[in-house]
Amino acid sequence: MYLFLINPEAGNKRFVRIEKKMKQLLDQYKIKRRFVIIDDLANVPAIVKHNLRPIDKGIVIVGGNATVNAVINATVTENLPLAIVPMSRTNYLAKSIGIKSWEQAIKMLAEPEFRAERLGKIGKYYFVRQIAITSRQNLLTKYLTRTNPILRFLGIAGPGRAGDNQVTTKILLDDELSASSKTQKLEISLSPSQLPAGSSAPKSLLRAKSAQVPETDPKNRPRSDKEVFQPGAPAEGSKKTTEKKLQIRLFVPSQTGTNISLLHGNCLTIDSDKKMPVTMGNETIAFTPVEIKGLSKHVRLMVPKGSNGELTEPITS
Amino acid sequence: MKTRGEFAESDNPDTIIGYGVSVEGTLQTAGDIQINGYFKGKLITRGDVVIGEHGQVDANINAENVYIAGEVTGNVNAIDKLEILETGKVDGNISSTALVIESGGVLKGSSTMRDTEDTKPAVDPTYEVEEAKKASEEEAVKV
Repeated sequence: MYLFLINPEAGNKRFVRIEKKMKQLLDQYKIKRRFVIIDDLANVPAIVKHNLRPIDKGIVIVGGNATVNAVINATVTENLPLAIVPMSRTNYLAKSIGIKSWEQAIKMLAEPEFRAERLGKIGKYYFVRQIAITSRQNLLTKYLTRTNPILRFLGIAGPGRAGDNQVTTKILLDDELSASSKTQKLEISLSPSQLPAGSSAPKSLLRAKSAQVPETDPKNRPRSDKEVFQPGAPAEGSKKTTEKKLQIRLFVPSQTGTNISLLHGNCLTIDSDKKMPVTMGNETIAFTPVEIKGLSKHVRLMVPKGSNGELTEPITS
Repeated sequence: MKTRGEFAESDNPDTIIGYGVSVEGTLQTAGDIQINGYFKGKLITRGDVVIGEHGQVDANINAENVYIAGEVTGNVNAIDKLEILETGKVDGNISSTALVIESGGVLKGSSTMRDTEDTKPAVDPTYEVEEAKKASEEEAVKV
């Protein structure tokens, strides 16, 4: 039997509109379930504790990003797999594991596949897959800055420039490495425990005949006078992967675009001269300064058959 | 060139220090390292190191292959190949199996090349070929 934890407010009260169809679909797939409505996300731990006994198949989260985060944090110590039935298109974790609609999610419950996802921790808060730290102003702040009469009188109001939204950040990785820059955004991803057997990092280096070695910025394209070569695959056993659990991507704006730096660590401490929100999906879970750890703990997620939980959409736009 | 998707993969072990980023400390990894910003400390990898044109490194480097288009202050030890490109400058001692310094590249320090005798393919000396030729010609005459 599955335990359905339903947030009726999610997706602009979408559950109310689709409840009948959902029940019909569940009956069609002969899925035994218990529906429990969440009145307040703060009550999720108590709700889980009181409703867990007859549940053996897993917990199904019906809601948005906030609901998913609340249930993950409440069920960390339980050994039950989690499934996500998204109530909105912005359900980040559902999208990242290949679930595009609530109908697909219900169908998945009939024949699920499981994927172990590593957990990360910020203070007492657990997270899965990826979090972001951004200095981006919200739309209202941008609008007010643009239309502020005093700034317009002084002639400095206007659309954002390349130097805007940069925050001086300092990142400490495992007490071994410190990185500092003016960043626009940071993305912290959890690395899987191991790379699939037999795989090795693809090795391609850009060598410029003009001696310019540009940053491997995804927006850069190789020019015709450059030689792109791919040395042969490394000899077996000659290159092992790093075991660092967290991958951090710094987005640093520049005149030519955005530069991306990639670093790895087990524990990151991030400090900034202005408070920056730490978000998972679209939910803010903390503010800088913050310490982020990659854990050996895992949570089991149900994923659609055949997807193997591979990322189906890029995490950043 | 790596695609956006490849960089998005959380299992990509490469390290990139972009322009405008300053890093200090010990960087030890199994993947490739590319530096276009500033790095000070110790750099150890089983992969390759690429120092971009804007890169500044104040560290000793130990890697499989090293390509330098920026500035390095420190010793460089490349197990295989070391290339100092046109805009590259190295202020330190270097050691490698193969070395390329392009026109414009600067090296201020000593260079040690590793012995590659064991890896050289065997080449037959010419006098043996000539002797073999002579022998076959004499046989032809006898016949």
